Amino acid sequence: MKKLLLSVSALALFAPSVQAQSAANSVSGYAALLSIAGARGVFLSLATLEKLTPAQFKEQASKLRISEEAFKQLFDRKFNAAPMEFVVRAVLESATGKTLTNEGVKRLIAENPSLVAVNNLSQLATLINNPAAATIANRAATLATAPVTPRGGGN
Amino acid sequence: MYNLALTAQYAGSHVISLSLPWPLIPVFLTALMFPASIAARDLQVQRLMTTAKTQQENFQFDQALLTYKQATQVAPGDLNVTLAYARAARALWHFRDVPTFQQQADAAYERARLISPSSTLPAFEHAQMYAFKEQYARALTLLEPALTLDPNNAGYWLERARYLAASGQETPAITAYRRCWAIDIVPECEAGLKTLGVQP
Repeated sequence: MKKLLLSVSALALFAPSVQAQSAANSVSGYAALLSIAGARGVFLSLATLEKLTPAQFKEQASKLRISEEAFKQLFDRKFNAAPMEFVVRAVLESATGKTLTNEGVKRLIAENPSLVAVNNLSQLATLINNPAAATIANRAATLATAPVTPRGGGN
Repeated sequence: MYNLALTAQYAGSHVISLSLPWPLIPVFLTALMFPASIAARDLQVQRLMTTAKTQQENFQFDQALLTYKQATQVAPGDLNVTLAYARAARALWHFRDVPTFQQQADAAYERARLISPSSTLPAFEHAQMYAFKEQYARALTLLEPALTLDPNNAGYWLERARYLAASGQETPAITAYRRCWAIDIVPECEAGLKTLGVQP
């Protein structure tokens, strides 16, 4: 309960930045990490993020159930807009518990632009709650290892 | 003294007196109370749903779930409210793997099915909930009512085909993909058949 309250307070403190970014129509690396923390019910604040050292990345990534690489590439963006595939990758990794690749996620976005495209915080919230995106999330894991042309594909 | 009279004068000569039917007043008021209470309830639900959506957009997922729950308590027979609550619980189960959220989502989808037995949405979304967790046997069972209610929906056959293919049941998956392809031109069904080495 205490954890939850702390998490809620942290998000409330961050709310003005969240709204500002919404207007800018992009998702920053920090905002993406904080949103995933909210979905995971993990306490994470902007202050905590700013004090993180590379040695702590692994532990923090594990709490968010994302790969260290996915965490790092969002962390490095800080308050700057993160590429869509970085954001989507982290959300899907956290939801599925599987490690994805940027390439696999890029292809997933290209195949399902209306379902998984994230250009702003509202769309990010939708992705977290979107059932259709959720069902195709596992396909991203397959795409992470599958060849570009499926076996037996083509005419 | 309690008998009030409404008086109207027409053409200067005819006078009509109408007695206010006091015994019927409570009946009229009671009849008016019903739509008024419905309107007040709808307004409250609308407010709660807007609040929950805003909370989700601010990544306050726990509060959003509580607000949706509150909305279901105000309008227990509203399908959309029940489904919104189920989705919020399902999302938290996906991210946290906490059984409480799973139970909440299961119960909400079950209730949604009872609220609208002819709607295919509860079955479809409930199936997706377990497909996401790769529990395909359960997902297939949950999807069944959607196919029974709407057997000519290519999307549901595609969904069934995907679950079957993902769980290694290739032959029934091909049958489902073919059924989908026969109903409509769905590129995903064609691609699914090709992936399984079959021409549509």
